[in-house]
Amino acid sequence: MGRRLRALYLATATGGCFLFFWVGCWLLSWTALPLARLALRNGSTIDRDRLCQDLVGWGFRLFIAFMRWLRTLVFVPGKVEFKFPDGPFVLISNHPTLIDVTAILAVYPRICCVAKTELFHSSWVGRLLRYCGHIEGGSAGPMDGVAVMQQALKRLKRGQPVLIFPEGTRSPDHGLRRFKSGAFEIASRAGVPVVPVYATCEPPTLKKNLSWYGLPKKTACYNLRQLAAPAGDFHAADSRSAAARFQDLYQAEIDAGRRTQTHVDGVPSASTGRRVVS
Amino acid sequence: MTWEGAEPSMADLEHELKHLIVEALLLEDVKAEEIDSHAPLFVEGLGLDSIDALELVLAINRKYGVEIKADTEGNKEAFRSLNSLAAFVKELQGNRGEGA
Repeated sequence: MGRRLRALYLATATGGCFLFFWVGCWLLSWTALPLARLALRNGSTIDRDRLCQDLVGWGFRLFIAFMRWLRTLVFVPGKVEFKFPDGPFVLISNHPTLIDVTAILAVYPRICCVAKTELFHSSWVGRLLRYCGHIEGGSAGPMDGVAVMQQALKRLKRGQPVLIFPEGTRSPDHGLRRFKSGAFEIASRAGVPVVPVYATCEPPTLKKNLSWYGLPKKTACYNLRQLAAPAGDFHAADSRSAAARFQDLYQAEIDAGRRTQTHVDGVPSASTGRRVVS
Repeated sequence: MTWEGAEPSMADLEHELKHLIVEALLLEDVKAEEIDSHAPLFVEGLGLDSIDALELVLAINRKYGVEIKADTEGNKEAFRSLNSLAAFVKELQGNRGEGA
C-alpha cells in the first residue's frame, strides 16, 4: 500500500477510534453503569465505584482491542502485568499520549484519576467520571490544586488508589517536564506508597494539540510497565525532593531508551517493511 | 503582643514570598525583584496555573507552617496578587499564634 494511502487510512482509522471511544463511554454511562449503581444502591461508595470502574475497564480493554484491530495503536508486548500493593497507593506515570489513562485503567481499572471539571459536565463522559468516583480537577482556578489534593486524600483514606501525572500535563516527545510535588505530598500525607509506571509510545502520537495531519504514518507501538520505586523511605524527605528522586528514575529510563534507539521487542510495525494494513 | 517587634514587616514578608515563588516554581526568566506586588499572580501577570498554585501552597506550608485549605474563607482573594498573599500568610500566622 502506498505511503499516502496508508496515511489516509491511519487518519480515518484514528477518527474511528475516537468515535468508538466517545460513543462507547456514552453507551456505558446510560446502560451498564446506572444499572450497577442501582444494583449496589445500598452498598458502600467504594463498592459502587469499584463495580463501575471494573465495567469501564472492560470497555477500555475492548477499545484497545479495537485499536489493535484497526492497527492504529498496538500494545507491545500485548500483555501488561502490574504488581501493585493491596492497600491504597498513589500511582504515578509519565504522560506521552492522550490514551495513557485509558491504557492504565484497561490493565488496572480500580484507580481514581483526575479530570478537568469541564469533562465532568460533558454529555459523553461526565456521568462515567462521576459514577467511577474520579476526581474533579477544577478549571484552572488558583485553589483547584489544593482541592484535588484534598479529594485525593479522601479517596486514599477510603482505600482507593489514585493516579496522578507528576508533570501535570502531557510529556514532551521523548522527554519529561519537571515533576511537581503534589503527587508525593498526597502520598506522604496519606502515608501510602508511590508506585511508578512508565509509558512509551513509538512513534509518538496523540500528543497535546493533536491534529489529524500530525498523526504518524505507521502503527504506534505502546508500552506500559511498572518501575521499581527508588529505595528508602521517601516519606521522611519532603515532597519536593521526593519528586526530584522519582523524576531521576524516569529520566534514567528515557536516557536508556534513547541509547537503545527506543527499540521495542517484537514490533510488527510498518517500518520493518511488514504490512500493517492488510 | 510583646514579641510584635520581632516579627518581620509586611515588606520583608513580601520580599520573602517573591523569592519563594521564584524558587518553588523554578521560574527561570523571572527575577524575584521583578515581581510586581500588585500584579495578578495567575493567568495574567505571572501566568501561574492551578498546579503552580499547589506548588506554591505547599512551599508556603513548609516555610511558614501554615495550612492553606481549598475552602478557607477568602483564599481565592488571597492568591490574587503578591500583596494580598502576604497579608493572608500573616493573618494565618496570627491565627496559629492565638491557637497555640
